Amino acid sequence: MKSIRSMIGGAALAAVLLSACAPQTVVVTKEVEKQVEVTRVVEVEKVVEATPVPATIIKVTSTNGPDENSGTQLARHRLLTLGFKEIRPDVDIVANPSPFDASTFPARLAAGTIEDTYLVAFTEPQNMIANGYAADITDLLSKWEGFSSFNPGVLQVVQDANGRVYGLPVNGYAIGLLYNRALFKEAGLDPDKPPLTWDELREAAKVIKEKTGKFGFQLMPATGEGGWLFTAIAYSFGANMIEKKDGKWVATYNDEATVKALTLLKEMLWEDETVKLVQDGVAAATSLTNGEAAMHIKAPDLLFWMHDNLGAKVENYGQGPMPQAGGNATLTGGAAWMFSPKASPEVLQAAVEWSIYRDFDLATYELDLKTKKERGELVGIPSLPLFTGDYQARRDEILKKYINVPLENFAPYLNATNITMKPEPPVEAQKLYTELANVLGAIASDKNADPQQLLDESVKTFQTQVLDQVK
Amino acid sequence: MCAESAADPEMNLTPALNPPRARLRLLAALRRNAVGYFFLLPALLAFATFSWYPIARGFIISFQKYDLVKGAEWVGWSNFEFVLNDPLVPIAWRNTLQFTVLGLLIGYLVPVALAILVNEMKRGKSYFRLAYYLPVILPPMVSVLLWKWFYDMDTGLFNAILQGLGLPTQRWLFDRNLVMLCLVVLSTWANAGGTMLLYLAALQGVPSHLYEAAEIDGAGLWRRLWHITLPQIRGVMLILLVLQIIGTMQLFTEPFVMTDGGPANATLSVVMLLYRYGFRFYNFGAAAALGLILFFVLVAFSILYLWLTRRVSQSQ
Amino acid sequence: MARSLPLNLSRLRARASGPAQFDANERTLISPLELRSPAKRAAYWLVFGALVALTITTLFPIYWMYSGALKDTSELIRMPPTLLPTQARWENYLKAWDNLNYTRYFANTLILAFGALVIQLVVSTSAAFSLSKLKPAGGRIVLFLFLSTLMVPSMAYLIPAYLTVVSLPIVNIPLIDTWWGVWLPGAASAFNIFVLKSFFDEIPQDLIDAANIDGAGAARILAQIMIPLSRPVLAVVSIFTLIGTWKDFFWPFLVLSKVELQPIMVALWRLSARMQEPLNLIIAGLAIASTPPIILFLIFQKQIIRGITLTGLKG
Repeated sequence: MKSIRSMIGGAALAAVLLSACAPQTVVVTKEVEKQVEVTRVVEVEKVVEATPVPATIIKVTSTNGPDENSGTQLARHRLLTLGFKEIRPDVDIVANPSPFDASTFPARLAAGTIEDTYLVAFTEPQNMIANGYAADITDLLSKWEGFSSFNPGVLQVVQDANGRVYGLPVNGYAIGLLYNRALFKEAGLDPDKPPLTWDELREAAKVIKEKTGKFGFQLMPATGEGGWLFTAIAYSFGANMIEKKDGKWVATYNDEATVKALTLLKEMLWEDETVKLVQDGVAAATSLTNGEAAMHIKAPDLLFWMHDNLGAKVENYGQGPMPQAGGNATLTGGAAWMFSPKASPEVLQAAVEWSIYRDFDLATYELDLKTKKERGELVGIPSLPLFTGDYQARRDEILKKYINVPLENFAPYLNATNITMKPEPPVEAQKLYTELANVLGAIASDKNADPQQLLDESVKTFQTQVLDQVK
Repeated sequence: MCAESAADPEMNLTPALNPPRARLRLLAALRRNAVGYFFLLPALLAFATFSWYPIARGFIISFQKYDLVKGAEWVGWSNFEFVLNDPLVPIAWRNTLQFTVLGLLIGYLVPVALAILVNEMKRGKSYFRLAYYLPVILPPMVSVLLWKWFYDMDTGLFNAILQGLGLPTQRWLFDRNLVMLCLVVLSTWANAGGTMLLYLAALQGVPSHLYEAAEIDGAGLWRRLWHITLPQIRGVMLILLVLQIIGTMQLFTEPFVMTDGGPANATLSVVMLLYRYGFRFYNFGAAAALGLILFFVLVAFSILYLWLTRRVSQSQ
Repeated sequence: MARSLPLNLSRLRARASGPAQFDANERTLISPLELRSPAKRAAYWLVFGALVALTITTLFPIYWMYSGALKDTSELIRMPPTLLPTQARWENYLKAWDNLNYTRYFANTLILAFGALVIQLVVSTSAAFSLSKLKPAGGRIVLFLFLSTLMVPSMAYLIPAYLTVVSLPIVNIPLIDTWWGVWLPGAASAFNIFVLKSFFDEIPQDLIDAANIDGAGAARILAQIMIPLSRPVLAVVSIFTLIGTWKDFFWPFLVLSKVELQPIMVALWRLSARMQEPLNLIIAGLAIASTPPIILFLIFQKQIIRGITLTGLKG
């Protein structure tokens, strides 16, 4: 036992911390796999406890810890921390079950009581980075073998203009079209063929309204999320929102592309009357689950919420790519782990190593999927590959074993190859989304609103109030 | 004998050592004030530590650029310049005033009326007290879910009622002209029960012989209401009026939870804008500056209010 | 050497304002006589009916919550909602209690609420008493300083307030992750002081003077005159405080990061934000959480009625 343990410990250490070649990682994974069964936690515990405790213990705190009421989650976490203890016996992991909360984050960061690492949605990192509230982990990551094969399209979410990395994305989903297959069938539309262009979408919405009486489409004209989704829509029309011209940042979202996007939405809302307005994410999820509207611009990760929280049946839903109108682009959603700028270097290093071990170690990945499947949660909703090449291939192999969603429903989404993942607007994206929500709100409440005029005014205000102040 | 001398310090002392009266009066006054401040002490400590000190620090931030990691640096008036030049600020003030006025017309009078009516009911007072207070007890998550459904344009209750009555359906939260009213109704529903209880407590203190005397004088229902009931609870009414105005000027929860300041900034209130500055855009200096401006407005209002009420009571 | 016998309220009152003040105060605006007339009776019942009809708007959400907990989640979110669950799942309540580890959070909520009640009542009542009856020098300024805290939006000083709780000035004691971090800041309630003071103001000074002559000190006046006579408003303020603390979610969430200390509202929010539990169990949890406040309300509100026989002070 002891010799295997030290072999595993040594091999894992080598694999994770130093540049090791692929074959060794495979060996390590197979060995650790044998210990993955939850019932053997106690044995591993005894072994770890036999190790002498190092003089100084580094404590790493994180959010999104295991639910204290879930036996499986607790067991999984226990095994993870034990496995990590073998690599870094001087590190204690304390995982707080609370999630990240934007309202309490500033206070806790100011006081230094924020966790060392926290899981945030993709809309947060750029804002944090720009304000200096994210720790630069580029150097710590470069020691990790897997880093070089990280998918750049996803990594850009946590990078600044100079390519420095400030976080670790753990999933990424291209925003596309989430639709209700059952309603499509009822309206006589082919559920395997969601609309691929905006004109097609407009037609489909009309048909659904006519044949089923339900709304064909739903729109979120409020909150930052609404502005973010509209940005994705505008991207699909070819807009850029904010561009750099002659060294200055210029708001360009009153261009032809954005106006076209906004006009289409307005006409669908007021003329076709095929659009349901939803106030926020909860309303959007509820409305889709209830079958009140058939299509929604969103990434497929909403299905997790709809299924786990609201009891939706996954077979009834499908995902298509973002409908296009010349832009061939869309935005990405997802979650990333960020690191506290107030963490000391040792803590930061330990936190990064822990993150890599927890999320990218193949054995724990498999255990995770296994646990999710046992709990009845969804496994296999298509997401952007986090890595490229060999490592990703191995991850995909593992995933195939546990998929419990009907992948055919996502075929159009997976097969769309000519759509680019465009990064978020380069500066002040949060303020842009708030401003866009404003414009959308005007369209939603005023039948006679003029998209061109609204966008012109908005661009003018945004340029003078926001972009001109950026140094 | 002893009791009297303990009560009256002046009797305690022998003539030979009797200091002048003025000094004794001063000592008595000091002792009175000491007792007074003794009872004030817990509150003073609590406020000093958890209110005045943080508020003062907050006000200082309005003159700084406050970085959560690196600390603060002084920037003089530039936060105030920023706030006063932001085109959203006048919009926020307008919306807040609109809500306050609507809130007074609806949210202030409803609890008074409810309290008076409930007080008259011979039976079922406990039922009414509980029933009207339930919205306050209800967890916000539940009330938000339900009211969002009530106001839903397509499947919502209110539009269903309107349709049933043959009236045109409304866009409610997506109608720039109606949305404020929607929030006021929600806010009244959520809070009326509490203020109603306070008025009920005050109404208990109205002596019945006043009513009897008025009846003997031949005063009808409305005159009794106007000349006895209302004046008797006037103290509480005035206080709750000023507290309500101060409270509604700080409108935040309803627009934050229901409309996020929309549509098109129709429900953007001053405190919502403050929240955005600080917690979304991380500009704490601007948030503090806006808070300071709001504070001065409310202080000015309170002083005006006190002066007016004193003028009114003096003229009576 | 003051008298050790309790102050005799009735005797004081008699001395203060004469025997005419004693009423079994059962009549209000409308006299029992008026209700004999059929027109007035009709009007009465009309108003009664309207008041009952209005209570439907307040009862329906409660009903939706309690009955929604019995539903399947997909039925629960249906709008318009079904009046009766198609299949009442009473086990949801048990499941919620187990899955959500209710016992601990419940206990936490009780501790937080009652601790806050005691502290707030002590602080606010003594302050209101002092400002109303003892009137120390500078009392008006102090009152204004208390009130001015109501005029600053709490968002504006959230960060400094939190920093203060993280490390108290001068003594540098952290209140984070302790009950005190919630109790003590809550003690500074200008609203409670203001309301209590205005009710105390209505108690006639003659009563106080009479007690003074009897040799009572400030503490006894507070305990034996002010508080008994203020039962209605104290009951109301207690209800507000208890239920306010019960529902309070943001500050406890900020201050109590340790899960073992969190009250039920914070725990439920946390679980629903992370999609840990299906919505019907969350609603069941909320329904269970709402039950004690309702019970507490029913207990406390009786105090408002009992105050009737002791009033009749205004003259």
